[in-house]
Amino acid sequence: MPSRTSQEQFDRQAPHYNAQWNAWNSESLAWLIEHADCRKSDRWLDVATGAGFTAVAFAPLVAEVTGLDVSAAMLNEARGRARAAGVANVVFETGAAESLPFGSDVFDGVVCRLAAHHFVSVPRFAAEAYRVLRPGGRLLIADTTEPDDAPGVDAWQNQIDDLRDGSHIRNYTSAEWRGFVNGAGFALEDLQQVPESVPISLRDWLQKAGCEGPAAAEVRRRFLEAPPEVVQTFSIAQTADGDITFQWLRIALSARKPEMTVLG
Amino acid sequence: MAISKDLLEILVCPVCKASLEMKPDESGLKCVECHRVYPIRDDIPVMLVDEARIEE
Repeated sequence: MPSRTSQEQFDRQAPHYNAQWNAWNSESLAWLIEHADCRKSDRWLDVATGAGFTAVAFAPLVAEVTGLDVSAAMLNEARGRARAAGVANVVFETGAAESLPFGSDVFDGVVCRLAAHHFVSVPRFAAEAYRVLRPGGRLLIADTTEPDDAPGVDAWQNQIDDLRDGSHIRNYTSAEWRGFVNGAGFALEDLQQVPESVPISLRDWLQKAGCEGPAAAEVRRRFLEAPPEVVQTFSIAQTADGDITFQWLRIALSARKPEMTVLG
Repeated sequence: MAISKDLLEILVCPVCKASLEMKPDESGLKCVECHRVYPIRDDIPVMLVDEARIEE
């Protein structure tokens, strides 16, 4: 179990999810919108909507977006963002990704961006996404990922995330994502590693999660002592002012719930 | 702002997936099967099992 639940973590950190965070991750949002095939009549669900960036970005493209999150404080941020953007077709509810509070076959699309690494069970989330999607409906996911076949890099990066944020569970590899999506019954249509082109400042990244004191010092030490394979994978660099920058790997995938269930 | 009728139509109990009824005082949504009541706070339904209580 994580040392802290996502609900606790994000109720504390909600005010830190600002426009800078969204800029760090704009490529993944662009990829998701491009692959969403949204129609104006669609009803979409944004799972773990957080501060609502994805829900608000999808809203003008569809009839209605429902944003779900375990943290009421994050939804408060999200509602403010929707209001400021003049978006009226987004509704928010508090709920968990692994037990979605929606009927079956009610959404045309389910999107989940940069959140699945917090889920207690991704297979349960995938099964629930499949259930709430209508036949032919689309699942779109973006998250931090690890290179396949590099267990040392994988372990290093997941430990860093865990030190920084006690509600971290795991960043999964492409192979693991294929397993989750296919295992739930989806047909995987596209899966890509989307490079994050903007280097992230370690100082800002720690501050966003409220990571300070000994935990922050330990994260910094590990960055400074990272093995060459890790430095190369994440483009780790030191800046003139003593900060460190890096670029995580992101995965983006698109999958579809089959139109018809083939019997027998 | 009240909970919209459209939203009520698609919301179910996250535990047993049965339908929900608005309480007469609009303070929560009650599952017709397991009788869990999910509170509504600041017009947002809180559909978390840990936050629900069973009302007979």
